[in-house]
Amino acid sequence: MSPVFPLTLALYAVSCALYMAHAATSADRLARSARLVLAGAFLSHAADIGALCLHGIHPFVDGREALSFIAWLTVGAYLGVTLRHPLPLVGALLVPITMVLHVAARLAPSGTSGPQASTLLRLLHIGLATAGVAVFAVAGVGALIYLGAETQLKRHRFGALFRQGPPLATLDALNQTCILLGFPLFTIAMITGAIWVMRLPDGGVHRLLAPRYALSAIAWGLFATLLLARRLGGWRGRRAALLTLAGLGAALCVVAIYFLRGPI
Amino acid sequence: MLVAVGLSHRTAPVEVRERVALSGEALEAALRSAARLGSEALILSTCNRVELYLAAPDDRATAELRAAARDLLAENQRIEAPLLDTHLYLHGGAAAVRHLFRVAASLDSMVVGEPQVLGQVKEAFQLAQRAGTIGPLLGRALPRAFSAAKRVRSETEVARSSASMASAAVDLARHIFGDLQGKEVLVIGAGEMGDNAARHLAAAGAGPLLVTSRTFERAAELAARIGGAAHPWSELPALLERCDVVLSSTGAAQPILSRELVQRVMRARRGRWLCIIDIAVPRDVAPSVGELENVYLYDVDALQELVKDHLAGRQKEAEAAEAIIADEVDRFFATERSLGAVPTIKALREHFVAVARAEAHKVSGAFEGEQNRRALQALADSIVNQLLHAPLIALKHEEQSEALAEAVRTLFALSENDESAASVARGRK
Repeated sequence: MSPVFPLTLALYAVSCALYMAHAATSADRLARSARLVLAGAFLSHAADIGALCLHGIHPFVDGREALSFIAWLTVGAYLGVTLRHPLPLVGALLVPITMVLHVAARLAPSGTSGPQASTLLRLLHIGLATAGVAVFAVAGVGALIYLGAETQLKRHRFGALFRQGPPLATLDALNQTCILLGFPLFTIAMITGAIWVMRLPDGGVHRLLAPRYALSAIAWGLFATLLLARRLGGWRGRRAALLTLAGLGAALCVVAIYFLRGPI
Repeated sequence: MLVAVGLSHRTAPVEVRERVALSGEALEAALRSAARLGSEALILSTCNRVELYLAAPDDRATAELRAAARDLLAENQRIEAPLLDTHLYLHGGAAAVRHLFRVAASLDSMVVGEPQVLGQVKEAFQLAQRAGTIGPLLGRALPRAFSAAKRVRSETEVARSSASMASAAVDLARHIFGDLQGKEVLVIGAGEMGDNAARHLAAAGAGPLLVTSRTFERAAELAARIGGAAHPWSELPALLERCDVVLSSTGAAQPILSRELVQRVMRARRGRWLCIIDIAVPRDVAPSVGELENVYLYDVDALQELVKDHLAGRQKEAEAAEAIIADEVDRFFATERSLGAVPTIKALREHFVAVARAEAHKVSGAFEGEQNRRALQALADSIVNQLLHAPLIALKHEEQSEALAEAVRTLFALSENDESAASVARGRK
């Protein structure tokens, strides 16, 4: 375990508490402090990953490292989004999730790399896939908040989500931005992954029929459908949010399979 | 005594209110019928309330009046009387006066402090005056209600800090669109509420403003007032396709935006969000329109739900306003009391003067010269004035002046003016 892990965890916890406090009080300074602490946690998490890399444990060595890397990228993607849309409510939902992912990654038993660990193609595949899933995760959190806020608006229940949540248009724009950003990453990850699998000693088309690859293809298909439907059919709002959650669900299933399976 | 029977946003949902709302000829007909229930009548029909104010002869008549008023509303609007019964309230005497004052001062409004209701009460008063259904009681109560409303507006922050229906509309649009810059607003109908909400939206950056009404001239007038563009009614579907926010406040008896129409419009809009604020009662938009995807429909009750939190924040101002209302109610009844004692005071004075002058006349023979006899009479009048000073003050201002007047009439056998004195006194109950 990296020596900066406790610091990273503590910073995530403080940021999470500040986001929660903001959700309860709407005080802007709490949201600003939460973002600042989250940026600190992001840097600390980067140092954590870097320290492990120095010991030869890079993010793509096994499922747990990939999970930690996804958590880090998700936080990075969210911090990037906040430069344009300050969405503290998204942070209040996203930070606890990434914190749990990070802890799960660090506490899970370590796997060992297969003989193909150092393949550049493999590293590219896993790197892009984890980045894509991280961006989709931000879209997914935005989609969840959209569905909650939209339900309140439709049913005339003007609760906390209505008062403190961002406008529907902002959440939909966040969704569109994230999918536009994540889809090319995920697409290249799919292609490089397919080539990598085909080149394995026991590789071949039959390996692409394994559940994790099928699920990846389903996730890709759902996000591709969303992009096309937005462009051609004018889909937005609720439909886009539901499709995003379906795609993210499939992508997270792939991550879970890798995580449980151990070495990649 | 004054009696108020009616229903409001506090007791009835918009589905019921829109069925009993009265306007135009139906309102005038109802006013004529109401005048037959009590000696005086006034009907206030707004999007948030339908109330009958009646002058009743005594306490016993209130229950009958309530039933009669219920039947009147049910008969006019073909709504089942038992359904109406569950929503009606009844205030009598001081409670009715207080209610009238609170309504006029916008303390009973859905959006406390909104300015429209005072104008609506004034219009109702003018209509009743033209119909000849205003008598001495309502004739004194209404001006006092206007005075109370004016005091509340000028002496408290209730109106200034009020969250209006219009600002609630802006709030909702912002929760959907975020920045309202460049969001097109369609105003349907040329009513005051639409005017107000459109101005608020424009102030928040929304625009351009599009206005349409069944009467193009009225649309043009409103468009000129708010800096928008008037469009003929026939362009309504096309306008719905291009706008982002719809403000509807027509006086139509039936919905003008059906589910089918909005469904067609939404297909043409390719799913773009549409926020519809329906501030009309009866509603202009079919409720099922709100079920359509990406359509956000709010009627007056939904707006009430949104603004009710603001009420708690203005508790202090509301308390100050309530104190003004209580003061004005006291003043009204003080005036009523003094008016009620007038016949008794007059009779008592005449009785004393008559006795004094009769006695003076008996002894006037002992006085020589006209000048001395006039001095004798003046002395008698002066004694009467001094003797009656304290009792008359008490009759005019004491809380129990009615009981005092009764006692005075009995003690001095002042039977001649009993009926007129009593009839005026009844108004203050």
